[in-house]
Amino acid sequence: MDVAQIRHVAELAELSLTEEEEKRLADEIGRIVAYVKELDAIDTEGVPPTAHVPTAAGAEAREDVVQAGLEHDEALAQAPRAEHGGFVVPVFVE
Amino acid sequence: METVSSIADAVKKGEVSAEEIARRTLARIDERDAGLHAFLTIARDEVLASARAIDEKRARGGTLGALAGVPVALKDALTTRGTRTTCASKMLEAWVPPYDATVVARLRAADALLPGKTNMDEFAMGSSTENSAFGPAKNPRDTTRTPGGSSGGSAVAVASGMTPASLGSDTGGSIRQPAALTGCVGVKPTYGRVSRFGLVAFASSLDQVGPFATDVRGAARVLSVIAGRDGRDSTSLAAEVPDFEDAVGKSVRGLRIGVPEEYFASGLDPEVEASVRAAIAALERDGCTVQNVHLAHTNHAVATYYVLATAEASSNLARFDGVRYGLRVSGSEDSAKKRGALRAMYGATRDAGFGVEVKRRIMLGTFVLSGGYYDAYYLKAQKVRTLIRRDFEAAFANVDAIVCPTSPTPAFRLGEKTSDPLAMYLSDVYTLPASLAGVPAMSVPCAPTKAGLPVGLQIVAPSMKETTMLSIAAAWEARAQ
Repeated sequence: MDVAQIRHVAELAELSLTEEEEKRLADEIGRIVAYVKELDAIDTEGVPPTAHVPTAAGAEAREDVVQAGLEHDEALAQAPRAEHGGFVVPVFVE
Repeated sequence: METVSSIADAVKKGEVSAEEIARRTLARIDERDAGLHAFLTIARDEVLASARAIDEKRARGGTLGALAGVPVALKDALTTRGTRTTCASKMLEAWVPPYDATVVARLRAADALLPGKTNMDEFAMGSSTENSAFGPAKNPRDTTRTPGGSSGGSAVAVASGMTPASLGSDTGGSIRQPAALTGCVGVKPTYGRVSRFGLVAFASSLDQVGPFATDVRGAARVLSVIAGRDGRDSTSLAAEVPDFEDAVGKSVRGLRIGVPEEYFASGLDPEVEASVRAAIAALERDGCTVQNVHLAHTNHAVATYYVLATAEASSNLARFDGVRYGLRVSGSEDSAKKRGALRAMYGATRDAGFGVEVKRRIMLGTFVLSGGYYDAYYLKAQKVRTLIRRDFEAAFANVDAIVCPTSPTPAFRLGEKTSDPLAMYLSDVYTLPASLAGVPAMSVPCAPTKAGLPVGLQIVAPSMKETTMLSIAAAWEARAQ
């Protein structure tokens, strides 16, 4: 894979890679993708995709009734930065 | 040898106190873990407090749970309220969850003792525990070798006698393979049998929590405690949970065993093959019939898995962004100018928080889901997954269980496969298919190699038929004594 493709994927994945990481991943991802390309040769005409395994006893949705979740304070307790009852992040809207 | 049931019986009868068991367990961990690094966090005060509470309950005539006084180590991907849960990642090095995983809550309700959190490959991505951000675990049979992964620490805790049981998670073999490589019992249930609520997600359509134990009965009892419908996991099955322990000791006479030719091809270590075939012969003497089965798409399992699992992982790990929990690292000024301060923070946090293998898999997963590639890779792999499922369905029309090796080789040396990611991925070839098909599978020890390295016998059963594989495993175990 070329470094430009790696940079594009890293953008999508919100990863800040160093130049050295970009080069290494270009090689590694390239080799892995070349390997998984072997799936191309398999005849899957008319075969439906499996997104998740269906099993005999399926799950039904529960009643739409409000149930207690985490307390507000508990949810904020592990935040890197929390103020005024919310998570604080760098400015992203002018 | 102490087992889940021998400890539970002794505690119930009052022969030993839960506090004594807790102290003994902590002493063993202190004595053995320095050389093995199975544990990342030891919950010393908490386990002693809960042990005393169990003893007090017994003293006033209260009903003890099915695992009263039994120490169960927990893979550090399972949330434990008030106790650090790291997933062996710098991203969560200091994270203390505000809630218990459902399986943890069920163990607590059964009065199990929870001495600590075990080492693993970071975010469950790996087959050797070498991807832990805090150093690998070592195989107790030979400390120059890996215990396998990703649930290496949980396997080591049991195989080294620190605890009689533990919980791990299995996405592509991460319970079965370390069980095989360390010489203990490891079970991956049917997909949906055990709740994933509180298991930090890697690949949601594949992840399952399951037990390790010193014996099949112990694994069966722990599975009974943790299994069953959970309203907080929409993929958990509504089906009734059978008495798994009841399956232990049941006759296997007349059961039809399938031996898949694709699992006995090149790449299989000859000593592993000999050990597995000897176990199959023993089951035949017990009255099982043996026939060849054909799982035609076996050789496509690695490619299929590494497209689907990495795609799901890239989505699941998007939540680690420095905003609500875990590590936060500010972006550089340069980066902030280019992408804005918020995205610079995401990038810097994820770069610092994730290790090499995690980044590799996020990148691969993002790629196969990206515009222009989705159909060729992700959708294609989903279709091959259907073919792999159909292989098992067709085989199970003629046999009650499939028996084969768990791993193509015994435990490999630390550092042996770390330079080539593909080599590591290929070592999962026998465990991946059952994960992709969602069927239950387990590993039970069979004869070790001449050098004394453990070998695992894998038993795969049809969906919802854990009892069949547990019966077969127990029958073999009884013979192997």
